[in-house]
Amino acid sequence: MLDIAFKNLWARKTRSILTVMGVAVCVMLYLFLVGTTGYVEGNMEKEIANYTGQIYVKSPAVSGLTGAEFPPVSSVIDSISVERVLEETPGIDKDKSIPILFRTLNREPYPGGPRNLAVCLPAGKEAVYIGDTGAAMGSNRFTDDTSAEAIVGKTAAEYLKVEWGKTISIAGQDIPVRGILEDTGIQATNLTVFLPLRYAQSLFRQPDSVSAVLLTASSAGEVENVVNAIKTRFPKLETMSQVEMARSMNDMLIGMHTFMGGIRNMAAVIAVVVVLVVMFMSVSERTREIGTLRAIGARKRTVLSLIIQESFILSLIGGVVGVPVGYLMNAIMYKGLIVIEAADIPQSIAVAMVAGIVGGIYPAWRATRVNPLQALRYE
Amino acid sequence: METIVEARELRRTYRLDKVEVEALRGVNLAVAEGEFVAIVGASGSGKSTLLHILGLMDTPTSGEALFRGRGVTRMSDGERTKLRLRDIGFVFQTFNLLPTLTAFGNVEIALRLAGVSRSVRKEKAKELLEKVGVGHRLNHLPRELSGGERQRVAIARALANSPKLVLADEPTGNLDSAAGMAIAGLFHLLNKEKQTIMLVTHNREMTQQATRTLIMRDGQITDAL
Repeated sequence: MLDIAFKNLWARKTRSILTVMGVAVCVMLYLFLVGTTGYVEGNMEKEIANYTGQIYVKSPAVSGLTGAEFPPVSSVIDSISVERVLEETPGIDKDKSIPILFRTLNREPYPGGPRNLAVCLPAGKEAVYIGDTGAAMGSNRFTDDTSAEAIVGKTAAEYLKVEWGKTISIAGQDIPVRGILEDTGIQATNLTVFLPLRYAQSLFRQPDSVSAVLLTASSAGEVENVVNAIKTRFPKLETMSQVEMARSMNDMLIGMHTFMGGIRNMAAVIAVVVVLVVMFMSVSERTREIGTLRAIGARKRTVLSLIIQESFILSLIGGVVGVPVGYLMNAIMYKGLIVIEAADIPQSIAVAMVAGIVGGIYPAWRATRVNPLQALRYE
Repeated sequence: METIVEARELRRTYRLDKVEVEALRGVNLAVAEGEFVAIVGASGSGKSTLLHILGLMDTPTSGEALFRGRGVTRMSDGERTKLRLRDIGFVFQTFNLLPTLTAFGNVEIALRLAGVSRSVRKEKAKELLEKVGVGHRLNHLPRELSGGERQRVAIARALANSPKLVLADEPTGNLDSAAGMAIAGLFHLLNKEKQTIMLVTHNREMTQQATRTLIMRDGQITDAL
């Protein structure tokens, strides 16, 4: 009966196309959200691994929100405290411990989602934050601490449309781009615009403070001692070690999960409703046809399977169309900021297929209830 | 001759709002194999109700309908569906062809529902459409056919599974007189080939072709010609 299902759908082309579009939009959204969630989660582990043996020293949380904030963008520490932390804390590698200033450059696209940050580091100590990340173009090191220049992460360059040798506009200043970093697969570098610390302090009118101090323990076993030393010597400051960073990231992810999960499930429900409404209308309009089929000897299960096949075909096509459109939407809207994994595709198409079956069940059941005689009298 | 279909004291009552309407009031009838029975009567006399009960699309309020000796009143939906598919061909006044299928497809689907193989279906559907005179319109959709052609396709569909009985409810009711006469001729031809036919009609041509004409009045068979 598959050919008949196709013929029925083809005979109502406009409606079929609109249904396919409806399902495709839902699948596109679903794919996009699944991809985004997976991408952010996948990055978390890489991010955390990046901070092995490091500790952020920051000001206490001013609200519940900053407690879960990573990196500590809203934290503020004055220069004197920074100097004391760097001088008086035992068990740290001073050459690899630096003050950092964070600034948010744009809003995150959704709660906990990726955003572009300005990370301001002392010239000559960039490696403490970016590790051995090389430059794809230009340099991965600043000329000096006061020069107006920026080193831009790979994804940030694409998203903000920044080119090496040109300028990037930050806080009303056009700053020459000294280099573009290679792709690290880590948001901490990919999404970031790096600025020399002194220049940034002047640019952001914050000459006597930074956001945090990033300490590197002299060995992995020293991390706990460093944390305890900070607690004892600087009771007004807080530490954030790798474990706490992971906890903070998890807190952020909970918000993101709730938000994304809600929309994702909504997309699946809308797909079911679209199929259900269309098939219900279709069955109602075709009462006479269904009655004819029953009158000439079609069994109830034949009618049931015909309707479910039709809804399944519509949803499957919607799913297949929705996947490339999802990719396209991501490419256009987020310029590759979010990566959709190939592994997410089967899940999205499966959602469409389930929507087709679930959305088709009730109309199909209604169709089997059609009394041939009443149906033939139906106008 | 074997009795194909039989009605014993058939009664059928409908409820229209709060009013009870007795459509059939104790109908007794037997149609033997090879017969061509025409039922005539005024509108509302119960002709179509009788045909629908004998065609297993409706059930009587009381009495019994038998198909080849088997009581059909208490049959399950599945059993009734199977009989409609294999043993009864039904022709409707309004043709009731499936609009998305071609003339060929409308006949072929009846064979498909009966589980006939693809090659046999193809051959038999073409043969039947040629037999009823629309062999040249195989690939046309119902909307592309005239009323007479549509009814011919509907007759071919009714004959698809070589039914024991063909029932027709005013098969010429929606046709002009020329097309009506042609359809009447077709039924006559089928009956000559031993096809048992029972139909409801107002068409004089049709009653002239019938081997027996029954007259219904107020839910009862009152006369036979």
